[in-house]
Amino acid sequence: MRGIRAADLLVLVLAVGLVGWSYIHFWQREAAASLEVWVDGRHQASLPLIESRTLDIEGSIGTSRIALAPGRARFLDSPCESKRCVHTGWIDQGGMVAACLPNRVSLHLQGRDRRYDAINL
Amino acid sequence: MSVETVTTRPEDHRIAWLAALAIAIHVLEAAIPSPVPGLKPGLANLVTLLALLAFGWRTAVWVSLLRVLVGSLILGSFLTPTFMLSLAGALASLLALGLGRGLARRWLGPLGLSLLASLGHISGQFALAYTLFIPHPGLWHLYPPLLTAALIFGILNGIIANLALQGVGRLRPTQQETASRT
Amino acid sequence: MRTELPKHLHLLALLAAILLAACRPAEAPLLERRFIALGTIVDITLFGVDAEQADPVLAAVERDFHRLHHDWHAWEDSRLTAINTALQQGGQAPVPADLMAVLERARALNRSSDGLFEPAIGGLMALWGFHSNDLPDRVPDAAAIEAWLAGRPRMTDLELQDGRARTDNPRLQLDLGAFAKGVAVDRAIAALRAAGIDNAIVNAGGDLRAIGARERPWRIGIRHPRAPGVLASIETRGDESIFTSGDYERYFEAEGTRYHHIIDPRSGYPARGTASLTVIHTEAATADAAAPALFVAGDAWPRTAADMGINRVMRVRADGTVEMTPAMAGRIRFETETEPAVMLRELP
Repeated sequence: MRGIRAADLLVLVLAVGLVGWSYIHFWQREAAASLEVWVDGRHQASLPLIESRTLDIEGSIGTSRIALAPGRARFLDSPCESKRCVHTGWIDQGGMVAACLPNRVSLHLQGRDRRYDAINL
Repeated sequence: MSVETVTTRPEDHRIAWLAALAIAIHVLEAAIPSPVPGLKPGLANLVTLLALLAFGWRTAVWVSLLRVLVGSLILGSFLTPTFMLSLAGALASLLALGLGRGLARRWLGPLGLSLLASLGHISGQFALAYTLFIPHPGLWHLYPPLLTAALIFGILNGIIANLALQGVGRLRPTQQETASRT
Repeated sequence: MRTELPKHLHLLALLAAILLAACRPAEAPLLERRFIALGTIVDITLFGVDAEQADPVLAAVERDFHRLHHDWHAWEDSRLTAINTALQQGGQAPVPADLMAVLERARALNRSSDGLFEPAIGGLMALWGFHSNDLPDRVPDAAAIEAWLAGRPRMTDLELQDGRARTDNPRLQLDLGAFAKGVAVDRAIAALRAAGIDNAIVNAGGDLRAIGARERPWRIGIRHPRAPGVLASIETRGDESIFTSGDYERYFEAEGTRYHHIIDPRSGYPARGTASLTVIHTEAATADAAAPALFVAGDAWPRTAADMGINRVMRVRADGTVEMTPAMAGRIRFETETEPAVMLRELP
């Protein structure tokens, strides 16, 4: 087309890039992307939170059963007495933590951009 | 009592005509119901763009600011949030145009300028809305779709401006021809 | 576009590549260490240091936390429980120098809070059943609480002199609660600084102090007291501790009423009217004493805040409305879909 110049196309590319970036930046789901499992101070596993499944983790006093789901995770059962880990319920934001201290198993959600560096509980 | 005579230059007439056109479009666009608040084709901005391309920076600024001011007086929205959003859009759009012209005058045609103006317009409005009216991060969820609309209307307006300029370009020689014949 | 299409094409490709690269910023070099101590998960995050440089000091900090755990635990065998037993039996006990400094600090904060931060409350906490890893399931007898109140022990009943603690009140039982975590966090930060680490967060179960920054300010999420997720966020500046006391941390329900672990020493029952209370202050220990004290103060919290020298406070009331000091309002960013109703309260 006549009248279209080089810099016009450059601006067009930048504009399309800006629109694409705006969706990524402003529409990203703040849901957590992956789950870190720590057992007794050691980083045991990093699991993507894409599909729903359950998993057994061997801790200090027994087996903790955890549930993974898209963007969230929780304890289903643990060999502790108080079951506080189970009562914590789903954790669904980057930086959130659920833990069974007696069994020394903790779940740490990692956000896509690590929205929070720490959570004040 | 002395009478002051106001002399008007041809440029003033041009600004007045173009501003009148832009104001008419501005008021019409305000009357058209929009599915999303803030979603407009931005044809009034097209007049600013054509003023810039055909007559230069000064004319464009006058046309743009007169449109916002008089348009809001006609619609009764002067100094309301609507007016301030409109002004923020116009100023951001002018700023983007000024930057585009200043940085790449030779290489930037109607399409690029139109895109700069429309993206600048919507971004300026969001910046003002966020700082002044709705300082909530949720507001920015509306930004990507409106930015997409600005992209599309920016391209369309750019194409229209391009065609209009070529039309003017074709017109001029014919006018000169007719003039020479008579 | 005239002729130089190929020439511009690679320029465009380059630009597109830059734009795409800008969408996914490189992972920041954060170093993280986690361990369990003081009954919680301790999380240390460092920025801009490599593991080799940080490892020795991190190991030392972890050892210190474990040591403090054994010194200060309120109900498992510790030096603190030994002092409590000795006070109960003979009215006096030897106190090691480092613990003495902590008790003196706790007593000063007890005074400035007009008794609302009350470390002498151990007996009452045990009565409620909060001195256990499990949660209680019933409310104690009103008569037992009345009896405790009748001989209500206070931190001012405790005499600290010449490496000894003395009291005439046999009901006085020390429970440092979160204050111990605050002291430990302060010590950890001091150790990290001494090792030349200037950008760090030490987070003991949500009880945290942040120094420096990463490539942006450290961003701290404040838990929503009534919903999963985050209520608001704070970006730290320089050197700040953030501490929140909430009625959701440890609680049980009996006959439809929630009984939480933040007990008002004046009534003997859990403090009502507040869901959570957040303070920002430089030292973690002070913040850890102030948050529960202001929580207990209820509607009168601005007076207590002024007395304790705390000027950044956010209180979420039990009805969900939010009160803030003007200094806090400038720092809080709500992260909920709809912003709660906020009332600004000046300190007297």
